Amino acid sequence: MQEQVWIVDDDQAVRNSLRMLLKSSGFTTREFDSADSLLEEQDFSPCYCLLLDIRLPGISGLELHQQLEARGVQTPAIFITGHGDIPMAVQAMQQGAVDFLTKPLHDAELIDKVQAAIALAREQRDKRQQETAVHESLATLTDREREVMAGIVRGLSNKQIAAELSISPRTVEVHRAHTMEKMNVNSVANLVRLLGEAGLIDE
Amino acid sequence: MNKPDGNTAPSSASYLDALLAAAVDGIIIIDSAGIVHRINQAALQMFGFTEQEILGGNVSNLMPGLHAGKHDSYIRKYLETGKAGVIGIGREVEALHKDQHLFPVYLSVGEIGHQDSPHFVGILRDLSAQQAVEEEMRVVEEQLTHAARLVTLGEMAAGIAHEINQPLTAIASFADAGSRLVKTGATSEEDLTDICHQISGQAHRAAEVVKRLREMVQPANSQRLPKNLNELVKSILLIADYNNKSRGVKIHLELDKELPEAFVDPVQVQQIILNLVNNAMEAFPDNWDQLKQVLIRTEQDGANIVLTVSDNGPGLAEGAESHLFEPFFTTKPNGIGLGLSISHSIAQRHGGRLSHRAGQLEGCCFRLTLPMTSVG
Repeated sequence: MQEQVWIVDDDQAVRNSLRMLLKSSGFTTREFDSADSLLEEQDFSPCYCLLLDIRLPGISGLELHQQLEARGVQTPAIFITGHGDIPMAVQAMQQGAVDFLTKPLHDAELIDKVQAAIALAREQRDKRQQETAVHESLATLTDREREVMAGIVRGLSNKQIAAELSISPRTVEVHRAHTMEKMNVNSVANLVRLLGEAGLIDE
Repeated sequence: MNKPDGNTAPSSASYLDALLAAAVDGIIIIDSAGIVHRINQAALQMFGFTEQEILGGNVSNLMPGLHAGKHDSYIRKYLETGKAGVIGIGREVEALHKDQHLFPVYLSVGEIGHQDSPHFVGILRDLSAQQAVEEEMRVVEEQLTHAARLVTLGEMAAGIAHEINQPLTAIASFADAGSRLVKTGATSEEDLTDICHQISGQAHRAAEVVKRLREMVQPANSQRLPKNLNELVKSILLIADYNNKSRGVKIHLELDKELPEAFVDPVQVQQIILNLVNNAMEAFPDNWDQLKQVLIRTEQDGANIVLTVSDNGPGLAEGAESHLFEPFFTTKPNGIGLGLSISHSIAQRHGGRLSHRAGQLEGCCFRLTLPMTSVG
């Protein structure tokens, strides 16, 4: 699947020129002439970067960004502003836009920023995927395995865990092996890191 | 009150003395040769003379050269023909102070009946203070007009900057795309031709904005010309549309295609239209949840061209209507309250009218009437 840049600008000439410029640099784009037409979209998964004109008829670029956030769409957004719109650009940055560009655009700057936005989107998605994977793995653990894992993460020895759970150290060892296998890790350090990255423990 | 006792009643001379002394206005009595017989304290103060300096002299000493020379002939003419230039009418004239400065007075003249050689009484009211106030008001109004024009210019500049920046943005990006395509060789002659075409089209678009701008900014001392109001409305929308974008207002136009020309100063009338359109677009409160609409209409009404700007906002606040055209009356948080008052006086100077009336939409409706180029 090709990573797309979605452009929202009410000016057809600006839209076309941005499409051409991004296409000439190897990006795939989709264009929208208003916030409303973008909001009709159901599936935002192909979109890795939003390029939003800050002034749009009807719903403004800023409002569009807020509505998308509210829907849980986390795609990095770059705002395009006129010279007089700097206060709006500041507001955009405050509400979480990744960057802004001033018209007329400089191609190198545009392309760098779009690339950075796409890289950020990838990173975010990888992280989310990993989180999902960890949660899925955790779901396969039995209650006992979970208790053993909690002990491991706290740095306890098999003996200590066995004492706490009133089971034999031999049994702890079996649970421990199963847990490491199910979580797909080969060391305690890796297990802690994985759970940390998924936000489940403080590292 | 008792009936006045005949024996102790004051003489008519003492009545006259009392009247002259009590009057706030200057009073001067002359004979038919122009010689001053009586002058009251108020008049002496007005002119800066003492009684001795005036009595027995000619009244023309109190007038600037042009009238002084002719005053004797005014009286002669009246005595011969009975036609008075000033008696019973009153008029504003210039008077000459002892220190030679001129000051405005309102003069009314009455005749005191001596059959052969009548006397005349002149009553003078000093208008200096009143005129100074008027002059001051005129200066203030000029300053305000200037301030409002700067505000309008600022708005225009923002709109124009945006309108030119759009095609420039497109041109820059098309050109960048073109050179990248050439560099990578991943392009066809057809693609490049298309890009050049687009660039040229956008350059013309920018040029069109510049052309309209030049039409808008005419010489400062511009005069009245026959002008189609529809054109003025369209040029204003160029600016208003830009401001409108962030507000989400839908503008409807009902422009009479057969509209005759009005005889106007285009720049000043554009100022009125911009004011009305901006007001309409700012009529909606932040939490307004209905569709925001503004209707601009032109039509002919008898010998007048009529422009109405209506909105479907909440309408005027209670009590606002009677103050609408007063300077510094505003209902906007950042308003200075000059737009409508200046628009109102521009309309009046054109022999037209600006008024508020019940709207075609639910909100406010302002109606501007201007005279047609030629009547009849």
